[in-house]
Amino acid sequence: MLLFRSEEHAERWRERAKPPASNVLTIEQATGLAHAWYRNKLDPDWRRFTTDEAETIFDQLGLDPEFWRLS
Amino acid sequence: MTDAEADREVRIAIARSIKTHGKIPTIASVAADMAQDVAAVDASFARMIDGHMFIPRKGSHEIYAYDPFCVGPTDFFVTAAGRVWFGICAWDALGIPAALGTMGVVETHCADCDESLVVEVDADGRTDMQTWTVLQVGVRPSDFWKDIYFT
Repeated sequence: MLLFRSEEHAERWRERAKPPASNVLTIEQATGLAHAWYRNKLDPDWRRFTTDEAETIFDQLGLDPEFWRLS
Repeated sequence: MTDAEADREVRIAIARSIKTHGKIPTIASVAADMAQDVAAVDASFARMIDGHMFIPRKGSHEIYAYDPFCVGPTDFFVTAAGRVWFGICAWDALGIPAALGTMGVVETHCADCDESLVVEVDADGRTDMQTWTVLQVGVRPSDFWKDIYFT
């Protein structure tokens, strides 16, 4: 997962690197995802998200459900 | 104590090391911190690797990344809580301030043109900077753990 100056730069890299898949997030989506995913990581009762919980986070951030589906 | 209870205590010790010392601990240091046998902590680390709780160093049970924290150095520097941290990817780097409950500054470079990128995030995971910056995911999330080192 890499950062790019803009979507045009992401597209240029994608054409060159040919990753197995591709989905582009705005920086607001990316920071929101990182916060939701990791804010409890150091808590004593942290646990991995269930598939449903993870997909709910993705949905709430407006991520592409086809790309982000886990089940 | 059950394996699950033992693993919880080990996770708490790992978190304590990160928060208190700014370091991802080794098996030996967790064992010393908990006054436990190294073999017991090693077994706990092995179970957590099987459960995808962290990414091990290749060929080892030692931690490479207790996401979002990586032993580093990597291309993703994060300044938060008075320390410099490393993330293995942009998602993790942006998550380090969140895990620490503080604001932070992520420094990396554009993977296309190599220009420096700096993103400041607050404790609530918001940024009002670099609105043109984007994050590209190159592997479907359902495939992340098929080859976590590639991901």
